[in-house]
Formats: sequence, C-alpha cells, structure tokens
Amino acid sequence: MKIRPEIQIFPFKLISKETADKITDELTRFDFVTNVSVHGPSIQSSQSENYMVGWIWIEVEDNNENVQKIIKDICDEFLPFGYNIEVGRFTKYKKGVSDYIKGLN
Amino acid sequence: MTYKAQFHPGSSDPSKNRKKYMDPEYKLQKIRSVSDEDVVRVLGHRQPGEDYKSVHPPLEEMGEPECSVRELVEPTPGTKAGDRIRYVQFTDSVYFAPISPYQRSWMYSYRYRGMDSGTLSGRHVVEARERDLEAISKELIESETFDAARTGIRGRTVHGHALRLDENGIMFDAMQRYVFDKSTGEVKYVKDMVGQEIPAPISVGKPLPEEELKTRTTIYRADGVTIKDDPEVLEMVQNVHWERSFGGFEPFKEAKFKEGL
Amino acid sequence: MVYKDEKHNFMQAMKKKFEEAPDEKQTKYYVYGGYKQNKRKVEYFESGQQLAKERGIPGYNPSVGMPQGQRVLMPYQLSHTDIIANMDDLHFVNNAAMQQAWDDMRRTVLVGLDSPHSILEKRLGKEVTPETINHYLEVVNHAMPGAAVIQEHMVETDPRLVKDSYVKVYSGNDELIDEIDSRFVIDINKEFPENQAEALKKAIGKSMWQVVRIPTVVGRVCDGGTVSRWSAMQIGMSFIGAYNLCAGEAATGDFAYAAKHGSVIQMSDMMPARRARGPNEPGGLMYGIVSDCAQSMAKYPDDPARHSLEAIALAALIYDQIYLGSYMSGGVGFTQYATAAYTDNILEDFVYWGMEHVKDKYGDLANQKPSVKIINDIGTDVTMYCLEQYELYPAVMETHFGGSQRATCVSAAAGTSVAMATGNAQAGLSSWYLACNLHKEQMGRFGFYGYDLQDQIGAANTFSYRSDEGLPFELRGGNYPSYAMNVGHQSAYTGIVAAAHSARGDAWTLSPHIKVAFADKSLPFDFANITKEFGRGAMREFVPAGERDLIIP
Repeated sequence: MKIRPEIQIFPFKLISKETADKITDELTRFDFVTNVSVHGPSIQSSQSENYMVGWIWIEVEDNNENVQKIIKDICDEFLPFGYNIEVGRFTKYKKGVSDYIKGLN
Repeated sequence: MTYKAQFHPGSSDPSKNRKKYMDPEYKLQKIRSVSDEDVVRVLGHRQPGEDYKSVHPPLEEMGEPECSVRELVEPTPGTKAGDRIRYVQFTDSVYFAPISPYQRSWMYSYRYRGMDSGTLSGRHVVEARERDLEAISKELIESETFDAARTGIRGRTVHGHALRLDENGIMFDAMQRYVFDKSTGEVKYVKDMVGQEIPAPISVGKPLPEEELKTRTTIYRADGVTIKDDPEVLEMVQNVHWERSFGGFEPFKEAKFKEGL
Repeated sequence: MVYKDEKHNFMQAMKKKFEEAPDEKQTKYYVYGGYKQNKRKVEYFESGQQLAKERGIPGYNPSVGMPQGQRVLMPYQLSHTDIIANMDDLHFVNNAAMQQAWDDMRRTVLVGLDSPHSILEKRLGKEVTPETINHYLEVVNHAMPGAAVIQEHMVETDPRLVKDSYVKVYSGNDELIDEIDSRFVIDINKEFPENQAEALKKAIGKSMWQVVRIPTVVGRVCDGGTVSRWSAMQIGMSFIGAYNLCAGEAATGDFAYAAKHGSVIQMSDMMPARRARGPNEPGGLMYGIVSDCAQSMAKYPDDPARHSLEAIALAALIYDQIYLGSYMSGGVGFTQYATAAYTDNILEDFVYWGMEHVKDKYGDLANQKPSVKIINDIGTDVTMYCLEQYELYPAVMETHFGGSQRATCVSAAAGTSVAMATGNAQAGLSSWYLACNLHKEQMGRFGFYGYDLQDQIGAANTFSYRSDEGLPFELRGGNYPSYAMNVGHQSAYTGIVAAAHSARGDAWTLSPHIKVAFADKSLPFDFANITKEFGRGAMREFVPAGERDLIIP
C-alpha cells in the first residue's frame, strides 16, 4: 500500500471556521485530494463545533506541480495575510499503542 | 548625587520603552478609560459595591507590638484595612505585545508596594491586598502597557501567547473572555478572568496597529529589533553572565580563563 | 519568509515521502473541536464507561477533564526517524521500549573478576585458567536468573520469566578474551571502530569484568538497590559451585565483598536519606553515565551531533519523564514537555546548525581553548539563530508553545555548540547559562519561576568543582543542587556533556566500562538507536523483557 504525501497549509494568522470551510470546499472538488483535515486550538464552549484553524493537511494521490499550483491559487484567494505550503507526511500512517489499547483503527 | 539611574541599557525602541516603564518618575500614558466597577467585574474577586472581605482586623485595632520595621514601613491601604490578597494576571502575546512578563516584574517592582509578582513565559501574575490590587489593575488596564488585542486578562487557561493572532489580529483565548466587535473595531470583555460571564460587555477599546506596537513594545524580535542590533544591551547581558560566573564559587581565575584553560 | 528553506532539518524531515506502507487503515480526521468529533476518542470514552461498570469505580471520562481539542491530539515525529507517534504513546506507561530502556540500565551492575580470581589463586590455591573461567560463566549464567547452584531443595525461578538475565565479560586483554566462549563476551573489537576500541581497551587494561543483568522483573518489583545484592548472591554461589569450594568458609565472604563493595561499578549512586533511593535509581545517575549508555558514537562515529541528540533523548526519558515526572512529582504532565527535546527535529536543526557554524568559523571541532571570547561568540550566535527560528516561523513557535520548551532547546544548542568547539563540557555549561540570559533579555520572557531560578543561579557554580560548590559537568546528575526540581534541563545537560566528548572523538564520556557494557546486542533495547526504539515502542513493535503472561490466568 502506498502512503500518500500530505500538503500542509500554514496560514500566518489563525483562521476562522468559515474561512477554513471555504478552503476545504474548494479543495474537495478535486479528485486528487483524498483527505483533508483541519487542525487548530479548540475553544472551550458549549457549542460543539467551536474552534479556530491553525493549519490544514491535505492528503493527495501524488504531489506534483499542477497540484501545488491549484492549492497555491486557492490559498492566494482566501489567505491574503500570507501562508506557507509544505509537502511531507504529517499524520500517523499506522496505529500506535494507545490506538491498539482503545481497540481503534 | 550625580548618578542617574539608567534602568536599562541600549538605545533601540524596546530598550527605551523598558526604561520608561521601569522609571517610577515616568507616568504611564493612559490610553483608555475603564470604570472602577468594570475593573472589579473583570477581576471577578468581588461584586462592584460589595465590601472587601478581610483576613484580619484593621491594623489600628490589632495592637501590634513595638517594632522598628513596622514603624519604618508604611502599610498600604489594603494592608491597613486587612484585605484578602488577590491577584491579577496578564497574558502577553509574543507578537509585539506592549510589554512582556519580565518587564512587568521589573516595572511593578519599581512602581508598586506590597505586591508579589510571578514571572512565567506566557503570563505574569501579581498578588496584592485587594484594594491595592484593584488600583494596580486599573492603572495597568488603562495604560499603554495594555493592548486590546495582544494583552489578555486571564486567571486560568492562559494558553495563547505563542499562537498566531487570528484573522482580526486578536490573540487566541480558549475561553473567549473577550470578543472582537467588527462593527466598532473594539475588543469587549464578556467574561471575567476565570471565564465567568459578566452582565454587560466591557470595552477596552481598539487594538493598536502593528506598526505602532512595534514602536511601543519591550520585546526584541527577529522581525523587529534584536538585542544584537543594540550593542549596549548585548554587552550588558554578556557582562551579567560573566560577573555571575566569576563571582561564584571558587571559580577558575578570570585572567587565567581569558588565556584559555 | 524562508520557511521552505531546505536547510532546516525540521522541514526536511517533514518532506520525506514514504514508499512502503503497512496494511493498516489510515488515520482519519482529527477534525473539528473536541473528542466527540473524533472517532477514536469516542470509543475511548465508551471503553471508559464500560470499564467503570466492570470495576464499580468511575474511570476515564473526558467530560470531567480539560476538553481535549485537536492540538492535544497532534502527532509527533521522533527526531531522526520517519516514525510519527501519538503523544500518549510517548508516555512511558504506554511505551514498552521506554520502560525497557530504563529497565536495562537499572538492572545492570558491573563486577570485577580480578579480585575473586586472586582470592581463588592466592588464598585458596586454586588454578584459574580460561577453561575454569568458561566453566564459571556457564554456572553463573545458570544462577543469575534465579537458579540453584549448590543447595538442594531450593526455590527457582521459571527460566522463561527471567530469560533476559545473563552475565557477559569484557576485557582490554585481547588474548584472554580470545579464549573465552564468545557467547559470554562483549567483544570490544567488534562493537567499536578501531580507534575507539583501542582507547577503550587501554583504559580498561588487562582486567576482566562481568556485565551482570539481573532479571527485569526483579528490578521492577524491588528497586535499583537490589541489583548488586541479587548479583552478588548469585556470583558468590557460582564461584562456590564452579570452583568446588566450601559453602561458608571465610574466604567465600570475600567474593560477596568484592561483588558488593570492593570491585563493583553501579550505574548510579545512592541518594541522601531524605530522598530515600538506593543505588541504580535515576536520581543518582550522572550525566556522563547516561551519555555512555548511548551508543551512537560507536555506530555513527562521524556524526557527533547525533550522539548528543541521542543522549538527550535518553536523558529526557530518564530524568524528565521517569525521575522528575514520576518519582519526584507523579502524574503525566512532564511527558508533554520532555518530548520537545526529541521530536519534530527542532532541536535537531538547532544542534546541527550550531555544529556547522563552529566548523565554518573554526575549522575542526574541539580545537578551541575555552575562553570568554569563544563562549560569548558561539553562544551568542547560536542563541540568536535559534530564537530567530521561533520568531520568524510561527509553526516552530506553536510547536514549542511553552517558554520552557523553547528555553531548553535554545540553551541546549548553545551549550552543545560551545562544547563541540572546545571539547569542554564546563564551557558548554557556561554557554547554556549565557543563552538563558540572552533569551530572557530578547524575548522578555523565559520559562516558569523554577525554571528561571535554576538558570539565574547556575552561572555561579559553573566553573567550580569542590564539594558543595560544584562538580565537573560529567559528574553532575539528577540530585545536583538546584537541578533536582526542574524538568527540561537535565536532558540537555546530558547532551552538552555528550557533545564535548563526541566532538573530541572520544570513545567514551565518563566511564569506559559503562560504554562497553551497553554495546551489547543481547539487550532488548538498542542503545544505538534511541529515538527509533522509542518510536517502535509507540508503534507496538518493540518486544520488551519482563514477561508475566506465563503466570496469569
């Protein structure tokens, strides 16, 4: 099984849920995107979905210039205050001890 | 006396600001007004108008022993009254907040009496008798050392000093004690220090623009001024290090060390 | 912004693409808020509920604790590996490799053979030859795990429960070692590059020493103090058995004396009575010894920075996570903090940058005499570089979101760089304190109260060595005054000590004996690849000792 690369978008400001939603909506339109996860500090609140977004990890089939350009264009549109893009693998790709203990996969 | 206290070395903006804040002769610039009641509400230690709780009778009724130290040191008003000791704690963003924890400690030590301050990386706490504390808090919150966006009044869950600012330029607060009012551009406190809701929002005004904060801050940064850009500061730090080293326990002699061990 | 600059290790490491994958399902979204959005945490919560029913006492229940958002769930990459792990799995309770790393250190004691051999020859008139030594080693390897040698009707341990217990020997005497059964030998010539092997053999001399590993389970049920006692008892019995002596004649007492006092090297010193810890417990462990347990220099002799970082990882586990985090304080909080020193390649980037900077400026490593100028120059340059990374790259600042995490990494890099330039650990320590002062002045903030206290007073005893005033850095350890309370220092201190010696190309840091004892392939934990082993532990790939499935239903 191939482990797919991930692309990290790291905005220079913590972005709102709304901005993150716009970006993920754009991204998930593309077939080469296999997973998008949104990360950031959580806010203590009675509302279940209250958070700010620090970075977005996009798992893609393959990383190439075309993919990078599409992602960059989306970022330019929604992140006027600047951002970094990095390619790598940022999430776990196999389960660890605590996952096993919890019976999770 | 011909000696004039310099308070801090250097000539850069952060250095000048440190000198100002530490110099008790310098009056902190007042850049906003917050009423006494609102300060009490944000602190959350008592209700506005409520009597101060006390931990001992007023000193005058205590029949204190004869003591030269007691005669020498004038008690603060809160001490005279027997107030509880309460606290105020600020979180200062690393992104050009007007002041940072060490400068708070140094500044408080020059300016306030009967207080106990604690310095951490993300927050700074000061404890004092309640009515003294309220006076200290009011001065600090109204002054130039407080920015609406990059300073937070937080009793707990202080996480945020190292996080990026949000899209509106506000420092992250997991408890959302303050909100940014887009229509007025002001920051308003809706919860007290420990996150209990307060009856009506309390405005602390508009955040200062980044360019202005850069001239007001006490923080050296690579994207602003560093201590390397201010040679006197760098030299002072290195000197402090070597004075501590060579003034310590039976060290190798300085002269010998300079030649190499 | 040059965030993408390839020279940064922390970015490079993240750029690795993985070609092979295990047949595991992929980790899915950690998306949106608290635990309810996360399938894992939901199931964790459900199993907590189930457990509460079974045992009749409430247990795991995240709704009473701090809401766990995504930040807390962020995975960590083990430095200089490709392994990405949950933070949970870097707590030693969840990590069998981490447990074994400390088990393997605690259950080790080194016992000289020269003294008992001379008792045998001179006092008892017995002949000692390679053949008799081989025979003795067979006997002691039977006895050490907990088996009877000379008495009937004795209790014995199940060999499968104590299969990790054994005795090996080493010596600087190649001719003698050649005649010893290779199954009992740690062969210095095979385990170390030639120049290191020569130095080690010269330091150890013609003496022959035993490396004793008592069973992991014994070290756990009792404590470090029991190790030399268990070892001495079995060694005494083995001499009596192997050399046909009278059990109880006065001379046999000398074997016990040699194994307990006269000719023994413990891993660590006993602590003062108020701390109530025996020898072979982490509080009395010297930085130089931890550095000697790390075997990176033997396997990667051209990479002194790697040795320093590996020593830091091991020390972070033992001093921060196990000793200060649990022996002294209790709870789980220290792990979060200690991992900063060996995950995400941030300290990696700092230490390698410092080393390259020293090479650029001064040519070779370890060719500068310690001086005010050298410490000021290198210490300041490296400190400013590291601070700049936090200030220019918000990702780095947010990864090390606590001041103490940043303080450790910045000061560690400043310390290791000067240690590498001078080959002098004391100079490295001085640079640590200089970095602390510079950091505090630049950022206007540093660590927490206690963290800062230690770093404000430390300069005053940097260059001291008299009792109660100071010590050479290699000999300092967990209970050194003012080091005994604050997390995050001792890992880096170990790295500075390690750097001074790895930069010189030394074969060992403090003890050639400990260095050889841990160049042992029979140990469950691989001390040459410490972060990798931690990662294997996190992935449930590590097989520890200390089996007890055999004796439970």
